[in-house]
Amino acid sequence: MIQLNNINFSYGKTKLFEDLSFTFDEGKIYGLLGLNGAGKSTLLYLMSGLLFAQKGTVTYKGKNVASRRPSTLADMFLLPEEFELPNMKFEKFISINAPFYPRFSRQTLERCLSGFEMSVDINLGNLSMGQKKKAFMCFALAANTSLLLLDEPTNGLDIPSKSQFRKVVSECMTDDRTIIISTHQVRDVENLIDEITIVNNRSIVFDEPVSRISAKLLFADRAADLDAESIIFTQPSPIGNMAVARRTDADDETQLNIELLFNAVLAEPQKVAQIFKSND
Amino acid sequence: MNDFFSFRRFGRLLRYDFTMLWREPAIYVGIVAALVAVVLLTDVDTAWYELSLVALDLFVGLLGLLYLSTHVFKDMRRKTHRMKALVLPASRVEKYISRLIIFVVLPAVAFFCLRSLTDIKASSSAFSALRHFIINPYMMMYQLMLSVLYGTLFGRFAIIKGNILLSVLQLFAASFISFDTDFQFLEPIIEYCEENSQNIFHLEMAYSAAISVFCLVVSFLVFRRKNLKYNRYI
Repeated sequence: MIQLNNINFSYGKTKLFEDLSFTFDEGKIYGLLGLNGAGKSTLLYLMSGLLFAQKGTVTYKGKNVASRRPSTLADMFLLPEEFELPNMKFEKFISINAPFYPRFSRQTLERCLSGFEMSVDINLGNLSMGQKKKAFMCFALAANTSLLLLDEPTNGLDIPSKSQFRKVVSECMTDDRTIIISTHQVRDVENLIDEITIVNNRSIVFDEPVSRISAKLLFADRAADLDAESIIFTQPSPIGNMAVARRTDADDETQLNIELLFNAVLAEPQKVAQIFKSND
Repeated sequence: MNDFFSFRRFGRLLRYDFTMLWREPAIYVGIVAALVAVVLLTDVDTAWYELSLVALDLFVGLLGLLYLSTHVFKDMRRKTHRMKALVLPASRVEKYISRLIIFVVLPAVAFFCLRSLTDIKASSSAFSALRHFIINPYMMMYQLMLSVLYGTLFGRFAIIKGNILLSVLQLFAASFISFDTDFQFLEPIIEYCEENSQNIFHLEMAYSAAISVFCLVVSFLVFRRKNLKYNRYI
């Protein structure tokens, strides 16, 4: 679907990516995680053609995204963290923007809006930032593009809207789509993402499907509940030490804790990599 | 899908750009209309009439249009707007032409149409030698294209920065020519001017067209490289 080929990218002297190669497949929702400044947003901008790699190429369905071909742009949608919507009726906004997206679906738009308890009959100028985000997100989902890039989509959303967001996105997911969600709010995307991708130290250091993570690792709120020898990472918590451990066939599957996994990958990259090395 | 130019997509883009960028060109046309109305209300056979026409041509026709044409990519100075404009599914050629139409072509056409109303009124009077537009249209054309280039290269104060750059380039060119004591470099041009003194109009036209095309090409090349990173140009 979208391929990064030996990408080098830097802001001045600060190198962000070095010889980065990666492929995002279709039919999956990716959770793109990383520390502040690791390059999550930059990666999304590179994928949407807003930034040009100093070396290497980003190809989308075989075409270089840096060319910004209309056919490529019409098949991808970027919802940035910061955006501005014009002061106009949402209907007007739809009428001038939707024609650029050949697969735009009014039905999907209305379904998404009702998922967020909103209607089309709104004026964008009168909305709060969170409401604007929901309206714009509904438009992005209704555009029905094969690639949807969401940069911190749940920032600024109220508590009920976060679960509505998960519902709306999962309802709009199809086998021919790829959704990449860059976020720090890992709890907001739990039970939504299919694959976890972690960016650190100028490259993608971890990329595994949620199903494989659950099959390989155990997550416990108290380290004492786990076999001490299998523990690969612990983290202090109010009720003791949270822990990540290697899972054996005898262990029951545990609920994935993305935050704990993220910390484990950054603190013990080799131990984690060792566990995921085998192809099973 | 034609990725270079599609009339259908261009129509959509024009509609989009008109909706988003109409304000400044509309204000300009409004000012022109108001000033032309004032001129039309003035008595044709007075010196004040001629003076108001000169002021209209110089300040609104020339400077106003030049200023407006530096705003072709003004909205893209803001990161959020630049992002939206760059990922909009239209080709770079379409985006460039659409903005040229909105910020240069339409305001210029509106100005000349409204300005011609004063010609109609003046033609009824025997007096008024200055009733025609006082600025050479060919010079106007390349000045407008230069302003588009300045607007593409620089952000605020594009005309000032652009003219400083042009002056530096001219000084550089002058110092280069001064080394050429025999003026061999200029000989073909001087010869042409001497041989075609009756036909200098063509040279002027060719010069304006060449500069205009150069400015259009360079500003397009700068525009097509615009991205989120390089803020210094925009």
